Amino acid sequence: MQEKFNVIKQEAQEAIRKVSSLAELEEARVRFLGRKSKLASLSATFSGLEPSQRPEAGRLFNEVKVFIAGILEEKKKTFSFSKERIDITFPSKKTDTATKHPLSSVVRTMCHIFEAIGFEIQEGAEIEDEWYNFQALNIPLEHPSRDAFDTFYLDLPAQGKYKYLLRSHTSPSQIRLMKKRKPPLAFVVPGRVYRPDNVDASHSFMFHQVEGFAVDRDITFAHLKGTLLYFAKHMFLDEAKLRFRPHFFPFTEPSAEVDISCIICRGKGCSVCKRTGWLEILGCGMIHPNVLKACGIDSKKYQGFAFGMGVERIAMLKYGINDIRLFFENDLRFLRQFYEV
Amino acid sequence: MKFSLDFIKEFVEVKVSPEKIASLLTMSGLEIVSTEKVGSDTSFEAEVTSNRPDLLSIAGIAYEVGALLGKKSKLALKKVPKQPVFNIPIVIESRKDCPCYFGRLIKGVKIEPSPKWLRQVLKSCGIASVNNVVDITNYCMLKWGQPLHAFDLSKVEEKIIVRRAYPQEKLICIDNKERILNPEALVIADKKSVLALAGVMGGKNSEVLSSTRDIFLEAAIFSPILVRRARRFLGINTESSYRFERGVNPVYLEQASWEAAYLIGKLAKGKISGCKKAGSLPLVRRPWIKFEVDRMNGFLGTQIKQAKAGKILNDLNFEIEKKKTCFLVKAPSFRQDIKASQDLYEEVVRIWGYHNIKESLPLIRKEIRKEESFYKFKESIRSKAICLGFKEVVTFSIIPRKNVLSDFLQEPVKTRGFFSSSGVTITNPLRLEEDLLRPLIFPGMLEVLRYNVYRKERSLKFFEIADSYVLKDNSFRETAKLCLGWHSDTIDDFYAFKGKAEFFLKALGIENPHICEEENPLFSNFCSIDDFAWVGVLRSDVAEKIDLAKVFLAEFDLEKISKKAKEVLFEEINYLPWVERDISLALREDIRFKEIETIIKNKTASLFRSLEVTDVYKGEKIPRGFTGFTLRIFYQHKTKTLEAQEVDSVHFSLRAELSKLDGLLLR
Repeated sequence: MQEKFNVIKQEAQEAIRKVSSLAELEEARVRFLGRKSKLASLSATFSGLEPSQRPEAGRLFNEVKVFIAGILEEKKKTFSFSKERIDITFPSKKTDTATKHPLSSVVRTMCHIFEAIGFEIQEGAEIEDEWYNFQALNIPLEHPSRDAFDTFYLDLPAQGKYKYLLRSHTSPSQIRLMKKRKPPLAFVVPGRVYRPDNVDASHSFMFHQVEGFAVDRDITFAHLKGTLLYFAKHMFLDEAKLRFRPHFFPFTEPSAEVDISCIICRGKGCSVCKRTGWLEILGCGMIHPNVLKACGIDSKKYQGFAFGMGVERIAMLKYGINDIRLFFENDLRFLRQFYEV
Repeated sequence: MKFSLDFIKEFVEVKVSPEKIASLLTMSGLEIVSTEKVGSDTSFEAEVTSNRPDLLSIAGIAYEVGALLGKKSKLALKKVPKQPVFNIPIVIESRKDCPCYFGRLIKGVKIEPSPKWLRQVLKSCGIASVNNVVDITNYCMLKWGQPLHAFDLSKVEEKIIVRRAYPQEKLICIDNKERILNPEALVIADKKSVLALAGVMGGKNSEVLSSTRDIFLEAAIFSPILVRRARRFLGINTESSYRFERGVNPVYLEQASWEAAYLIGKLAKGKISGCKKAGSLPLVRRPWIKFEVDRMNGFLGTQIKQAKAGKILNDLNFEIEKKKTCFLVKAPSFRQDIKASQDLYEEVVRIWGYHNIKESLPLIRKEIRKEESFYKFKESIRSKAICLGFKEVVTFSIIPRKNVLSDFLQEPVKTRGFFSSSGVTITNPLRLEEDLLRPLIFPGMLEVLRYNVYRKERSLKFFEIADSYVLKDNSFRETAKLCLGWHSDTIDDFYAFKGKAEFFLKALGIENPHICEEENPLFSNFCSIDDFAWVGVLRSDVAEKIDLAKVFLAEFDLEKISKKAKEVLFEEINYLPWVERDISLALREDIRFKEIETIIKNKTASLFRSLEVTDVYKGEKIPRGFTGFTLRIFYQHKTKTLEAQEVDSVHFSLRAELSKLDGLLLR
């Protein structure tokens, strides 16, 4: 019995010494320790032994087994694994993953920035009527201030004297929310809007806006500036600066157009900002008392601000996209360049 | 509006550089878009917002520049001398269309080129010089913002009538183009014919030419709406229409008219010989507005001193009456846009400087309640679609009536809605026929698939979340939908598509929805899922026609789904071992899998865990008209470890049961 164990021991020692790869080592392990190994078949004969001899046989069996396992382990350590190496310069398999459209991810980023400072995200309908799109927003019929809001009208029976249309901005949702809820109010409203503009590199008859507004007893122009600066720093760069230029919108008073310090050249002047160092990004102002009144809010008690911006414009600046049409073409070569999920 | 710096300097002292002026104006609301040197003068081009018609005049801009430099413009109204009334009748048909019409006669003029100074001012203001009389009318319009028009008096037959045009009435304007008018247009006519399009452009027939001796000078107020309609209808925008549309200041009317007459007398050596006014100047309302500096600071979040605010308003030519705790403020006649205290706040703060307002974040007070947001629900749908491997696209909500599918539908708008509904259309589309608000999302999806297939992509999985619009009982419904689109070269991928759709519903906690197979003209297979979704395989001839291979589509009504969706709860894991058994079989093509599935579930009852198709083949060993596949059935007991014999006996009786089915072969 001892003899037989020694033969196995030697045989294993010899064979394992010659082993030259991890694969061979695994073969050797199976050959000497596996279920069909000599060691295993030897142990199967134990039942034929005298009961008195069995403990000794068991002890020897264990000793050899531990010995072989030991040299296998030793051998394993000697390998440099060099032969296991693969050519990692070989071309990788292409990965393509499902992603958000860049407009969706920009809308989400925008909304989340405002949400973090207390704004609630809501949406509104795209089919609106003249009262919500114009009248309630202090935009009179047949006035030059309406020229900026050319609108698609719909073939639907009018609601009283107000015709149905596709909203030309997200502001009607401001009206709906102000009518539905009581102050304090703070909302951001993303959505699609429509204007009959001929399509070119910077115009599209359908585009997206994010509207925001806050109404309470003590909401000020300083808050408007702070809110938008907070947004600009989170959306673009911490060193972003904003410039508020007085402007006219029928639904706000005072009103402003807002420029951001050019994020391409960081304000030094480049072709994108036409050497001015500034890029126009949004319009805003303190909500006009007539608008509050139209929504049943007492403008003597409450005041608030509102702003609106084009999502495509923000996305184009953020990613350096130069043609608005790319957003609606859905070319995979375009979509694959965005990784947000 | 182009204007000259030298012209401004006549009314306000300017010591700073033109660049500084441009930047001050831009930052106070008059955006200077370009600056140009014209000799020793500087010409600015400004973008004037529609609320500030006063900035379409040098008079108005001078007050702005003054206030920005901390001084007040010296512009003063001169006394208009009395003149005899001439005897040409002036008839205004409707005071609503034209509240006031003021005429002056200047006789014996000599039409010549203008003197150099006048030509230069006009040049800096971007207006071409014509002759001395026309140039003077333009000069006075620039200065006061009141458009003027000079007629050749000898061409005026008997009287001046301000009336609506007759249908199809014609006028050749001074730009030599003939225009056909309608009663929407307001015209100036004499006894015989139309002389001018009121407030827009003069007629060729009464134009001031070198032969002109006597001038009829018009200064009037026309309805802004009529001027707007006429210029939109005729497609002409003039310096005059631009100003009338935005509203002119009645207070300056006689001033401008007198100054023009005076200058014509002086420069064209004419004799001012009478005037006449028809109608009356509209009353300029100038109410007292209460101005409290504390309220302003509370509105703006600023600390502007009362004295500073007072100085700014005064420089802008506002009248101020000091009261104990506030000011009473009256806006100048040319500032009809000022109506309430907020308007005054804006005046003060835009001159004081928006940049001086210190930013701060508002503390937004919130109610303690859950904010239900459909946007967020849509975002969760979006993540699920992405997890299932679909890439998001955004396509247009407005589609052409004639689109990729029209050929397959008799009446596209009506039959497209297989939900017995039709689409909402646009009355003023950008392009004819591109006027349909899509009742379903998938036509846009097909365009995207095709676009990318043309660019050598074959395996495509897209989704879009957008609103759809349908007409229903004389009203409409706008609903958010999720559309899934899958393009593949093999029909087998349908089962992967089906798996994803099922997973999607499972993730929303929607179990065992009612699925109903239907006939559809566009789809070889089509089924509705409850009332909230449909899934379909596009008919191959439809797909081929648009160069696509296999197309699987689905649409989900997100509003209905949002009402059904619930949170999916954890289900206890069954840790007991399971046993699998395979059955290879062949199924005749007219037998549906559903039948076998029912048998399997009935026979295996409580031991059934799940089943899976491990491989599908058609080949020599399979009889024609049959499909072969291997089914793997997983058995598991709910409370104990299964014994092999137990499984075998159930499995054996299942095989026996299946073998009895006609059209099924066990292999």
